[in-house]
Amino acid sequence: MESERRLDRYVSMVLRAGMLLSVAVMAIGLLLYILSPGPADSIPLDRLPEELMNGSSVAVISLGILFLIITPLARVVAAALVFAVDREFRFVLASLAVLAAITLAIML
Amino acid sequence: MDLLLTAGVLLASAFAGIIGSMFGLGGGIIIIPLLTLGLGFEMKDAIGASLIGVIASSTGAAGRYVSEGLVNIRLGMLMEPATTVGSIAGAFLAVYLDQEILALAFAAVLLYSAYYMFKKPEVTVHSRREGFCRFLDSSYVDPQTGEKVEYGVHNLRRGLLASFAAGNMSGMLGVGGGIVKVPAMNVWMGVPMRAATSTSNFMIGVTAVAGASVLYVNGLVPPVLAATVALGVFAGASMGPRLVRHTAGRTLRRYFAIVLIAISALMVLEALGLGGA
Repeated sequence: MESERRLDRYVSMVLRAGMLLSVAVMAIGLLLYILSPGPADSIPLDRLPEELMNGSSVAVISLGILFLIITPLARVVAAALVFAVDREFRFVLASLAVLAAITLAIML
Repeated sequence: MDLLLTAGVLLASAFAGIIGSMFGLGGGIIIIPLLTLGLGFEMKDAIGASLIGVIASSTGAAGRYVSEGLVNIRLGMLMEPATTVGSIAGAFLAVYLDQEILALAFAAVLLYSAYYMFKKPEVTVHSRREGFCRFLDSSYVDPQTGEKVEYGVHNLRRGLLASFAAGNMSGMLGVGGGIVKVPAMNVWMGVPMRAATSTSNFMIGVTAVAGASVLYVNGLVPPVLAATVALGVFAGASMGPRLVRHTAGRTLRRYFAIVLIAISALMVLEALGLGGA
């Protein structure tokens, strides 16, 4: 029971942190965009760092979206770590299966 | 986007966030028609933005549901790969199968679940502490009654098949899998309604990640629209769990049955070529 609460605590911490981070970055980006609107085309991943350096508001927004997409993956990793510490290897395996299935889906 | 349109998008997505987070659905089925039919966005933009909204709906509410102990994380993580593999299979099968017939078949399944949820009382199974299911026993304190609810999970194999089918459905029809997973957990596996909707809400974020990453990498997520949708959904998803706190599990189950009927009606309209989503 104690271990279940710990699992809950870490997983919800990751979810909340991811949410706050992505909300903050997306909100700042949208604000910048409203102040100086421009083309709103999506930015390819490899050009994102460069565009961020240029201070592009759309790049800031895209970074926030990226944080949002990563959050569910981060919570799978967090759960896997807690399962590993608790020596619940069945569920470490289940967590890895989740990540493997997503990777498979993306590659196809 | 001008300010009026932005306000419209925020409101529409907040509504989707409330409904989605209350019932463990992604909310895409609400966002897409509101964006296309209601606000005049193009279908391909709406799909990209709505997938981001689905992740927001899950992430926004799950933090709270998990810390309240309502989410059965272990059960969720067993069902997630089944759903994802199901959606891959679904995307391939979609090419060979008639979408209209498929939509009608799924609508029939949803209607039957709704009927079942109206007619039959909820049956919670007590943990039998045997087989693999013993690892999935869980408990939570009902926020409405203050009672501690302990439950076991049974029919895991059927539940995993249902997750696979739910994935199939989202792969083939683009309709989220929560609408299948919640009744499967509640009716077959003996998971109390409150835990079923919370666990489904928790799972949906991971299920949407695969699709969202593919669209993102291919430049099919319109940044400004998607971020606006995400912020609106976040606002709604932070309200959903609070509304649910004051709703009895039994009432939640009834409301869910109504949502099921509404969605199957939408799917039938769509299959007959009358819908817009």
